[in-house]
Amino acid sequence: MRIARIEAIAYGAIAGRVVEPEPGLTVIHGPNESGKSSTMQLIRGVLFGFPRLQGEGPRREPKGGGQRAGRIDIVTDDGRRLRIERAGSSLTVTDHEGVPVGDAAFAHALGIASAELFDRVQTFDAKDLAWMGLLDDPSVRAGVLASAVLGGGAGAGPVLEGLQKRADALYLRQGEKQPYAHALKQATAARRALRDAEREAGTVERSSDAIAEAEQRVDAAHEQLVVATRELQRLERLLELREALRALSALEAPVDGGVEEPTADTLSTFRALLGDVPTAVEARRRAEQLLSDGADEGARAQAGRSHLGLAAAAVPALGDEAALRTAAETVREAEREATRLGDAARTIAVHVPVVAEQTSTTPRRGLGAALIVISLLAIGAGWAISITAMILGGILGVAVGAALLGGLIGSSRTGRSTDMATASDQQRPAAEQAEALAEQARAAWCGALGGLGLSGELRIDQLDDILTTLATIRTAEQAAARAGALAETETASAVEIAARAAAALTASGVEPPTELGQLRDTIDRTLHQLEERRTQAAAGRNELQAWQDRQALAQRRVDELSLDDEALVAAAQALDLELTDAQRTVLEQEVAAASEEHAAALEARGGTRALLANAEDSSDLASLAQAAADAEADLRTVADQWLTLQLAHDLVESARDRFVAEHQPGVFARAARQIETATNGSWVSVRMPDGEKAGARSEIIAADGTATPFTELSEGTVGLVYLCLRAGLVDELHDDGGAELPVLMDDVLTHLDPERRVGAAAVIADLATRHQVLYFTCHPEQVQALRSANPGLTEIELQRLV
Amino acid sequence: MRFEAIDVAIDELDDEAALERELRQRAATIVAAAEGRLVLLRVTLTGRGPLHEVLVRDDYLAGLRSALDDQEDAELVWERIASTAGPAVELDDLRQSNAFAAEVLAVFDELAADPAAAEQLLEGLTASFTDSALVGLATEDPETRLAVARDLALGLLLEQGGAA
Repeated sequence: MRIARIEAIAYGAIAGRVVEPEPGLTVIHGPNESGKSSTMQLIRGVLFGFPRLQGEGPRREPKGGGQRAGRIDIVTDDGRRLRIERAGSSLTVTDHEGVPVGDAAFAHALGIASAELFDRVQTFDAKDLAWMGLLDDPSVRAGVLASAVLGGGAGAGPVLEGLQKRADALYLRQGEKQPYAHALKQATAARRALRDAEREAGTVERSSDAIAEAEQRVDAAHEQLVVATRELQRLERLLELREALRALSALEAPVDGGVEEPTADTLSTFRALLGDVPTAVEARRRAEQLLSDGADEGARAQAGRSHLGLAAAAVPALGDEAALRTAAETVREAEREATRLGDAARTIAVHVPVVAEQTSTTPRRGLGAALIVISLLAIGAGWAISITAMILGGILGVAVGAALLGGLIGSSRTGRSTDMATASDQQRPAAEQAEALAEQARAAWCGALGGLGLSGELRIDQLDDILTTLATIRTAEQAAARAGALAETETASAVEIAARAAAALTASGVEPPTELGQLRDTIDRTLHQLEERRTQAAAGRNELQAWQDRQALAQRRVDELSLDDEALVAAAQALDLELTDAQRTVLEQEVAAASEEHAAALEARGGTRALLANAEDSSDLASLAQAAADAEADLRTVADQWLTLQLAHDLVESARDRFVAEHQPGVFARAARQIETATNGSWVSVRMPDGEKAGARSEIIAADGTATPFTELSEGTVGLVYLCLRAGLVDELHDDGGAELPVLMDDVLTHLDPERRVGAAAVIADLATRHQVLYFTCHPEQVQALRSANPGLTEIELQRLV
Repeated sequence: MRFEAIDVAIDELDDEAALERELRQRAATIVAAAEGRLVLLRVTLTGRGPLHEVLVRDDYLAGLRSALDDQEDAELVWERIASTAGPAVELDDLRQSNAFAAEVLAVFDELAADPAAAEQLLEGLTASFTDSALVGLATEDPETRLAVARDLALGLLLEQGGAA
């Protein structure tokens, strides 16, 4: 393929630029900043993709922003014209009419070419020529020649480098930081530890005797220490026991105060009496008041009795008062009748004879009935109060009343007469009889008074007074009786309390007072004394308990120390203090010495044991052997990895050398022809060492067969040789089946002198007869040299952009 | 404790995530069968596939082992992950090509066909190994070592894109 048209759509500062190279040699020239390099990079970018990262090449972002874009028209080997347009990462392939044809046609046109190959084979500049001077440097030669010869872009170089780097990271012959060195140290250390452990195993046996001796020493020191310590402890125990015995015997029992402690019941009794005694005093006061009141009432009753003439007899009952009232009424009635009859007789006697028999019989009968009644009452009363006179009077009254009622009295004396002349005479006796009856009624009144025990002097008109006085007497006598009874009860209560208090006091040894009023003070004082005695008794009891506790404690201490060993007690009691102090001093010194010896023995035994323990630890042969085996396995793993990497490296290197050797002849043959042309036959060939043999040198061969090392050639000659090699490589690559690709050159004639420049221009012109060559330069002399070599070349002049 | 060693083919695994999934699944099966015992697992990656390009990176396998071991699985220890896997290429096709990789392959093939030469080469490489633990390393399964080295080289070469 060849490039027919280059168009920068958006790329760096050359947007809009169009360059149309021709087949053969096209020289694109212009001053600096005319965009030659940008145009070269645009070609690479459109064909193989724009660099994405800065390290992949200049990015050439468009000045106006947006993504990079360019368009290249190519003419394939079979004459098809394709337009390759790339915008960013987007690729479009069309035919000359703009019809998409797919990427396959473009890929076919590129063949096996990649960006790497394009950079290393098809594109070169003056710097590449300068590298030729370093071709004897193995790394430079591997990077420049070999990769170029291989036609594989980076080819074997990076692979070899990567493999070697990884291998070196594992192992270097003089390296100390690599895993191999570390693993080797580990393995060596593990094996040494194992050997040491095996050696220590012998030490263990030898240490056994030392341990036995140390044990014996420790045992002896321990025995000595135990004996001395026990003796010292026994002595100190005796001293302590002695002191305990002394303390026990020094305890004095508390003196008994002889205070008799009153009982709680006694105190309760006195506390109750303290409240009861005032009650007794109050009861006695109330009894005295009641007795006084009773006496007053008795006096009042006695006055009433005197007033009524009532002696010691009982006061008449209320029923008896009714008979008295009836008797009084009868007397009054009789007197009124007698008065009326007397008045009537006197009237008749003065004015008319009056008095009829009939009129005189009625009063008499009434009087007789009244007399009977009163008499019966008098009999009843006399019967009730056992007064015979009243009974007899009553009987007499009944007889008289019956006579009057039957008309026996008077009718026999007067008789009935109807004669008016005798009426007055008849009325007079009736009056007299009425008077007599009145008299009898009064006698009956008196009888009634007497029947009630009252004075006969009492008049009928005093009836109300009599009755009132009788009521007063009854009330007073009843009140006096009640007061007396209550006073008796109160007195009995007071007496009971006083008796109880007296008994309590007597029981407590206190003489009870005779006066009730002094009783409370006595009770109070006695109670206070009893409580004080109780407090004293409690204090004494506490003191006794404390003493008992101290005694028990001291006894327990003695028991603990003596262990019920009477002999020990006896020994303690018989202890000689001065002798004991001396013994203790000696024993303490013995204990200290034994302790030091014991500690020293222990230390010695510990050291021996530690030695033995170390030996035993290190004699864990199994684990150490395992550790050694593990370390060796790690070492073997690292070495195994390194060996595989190094094997891969060496075989890739071998393949590279063979590949180079296979292809070198063709390259060198072509290069030799170019060199001979460029040097007008002075030099006819080049020879480069096989592979990277030490001391090998690249040489140029003169027509007479002499060889001159590159290092002895001028820079320009070396550059010329390199140009020839590259030209031969391009031909070799194409003839070996590679695709036809344009060759891009950037000022490759810069370092050549005019003579070499002419020769080099001839090489370029010759190369352009088989391949499209785009030569970029800003040097007019180079343009001129190329014009001279190829008068038919195409020139495209670029203008400065800024 | 149980020691287990498994081979995991990378042929069907497209990327690193697929590889990790496959490893975890295989490990889970082994742990489940271990009935609670601690499992020390050693993995060898085999086969061919695009994943080979990842496996040959520096420290990738060590990083993978560390990442898997950091999982909170108290019953499993990823003791080691090694690779004998090769690149995703058909060796026969490659041998017929005109590429540099074909030259590399030819060198390995020739050595594999000549055990004495291979042994001599390996002995030469291990000449500086004087430690007793490394005795016999050169002769230890040279065929496998050559295959691993070949796949390693081809993988790197193809990764560079320069095999054509």
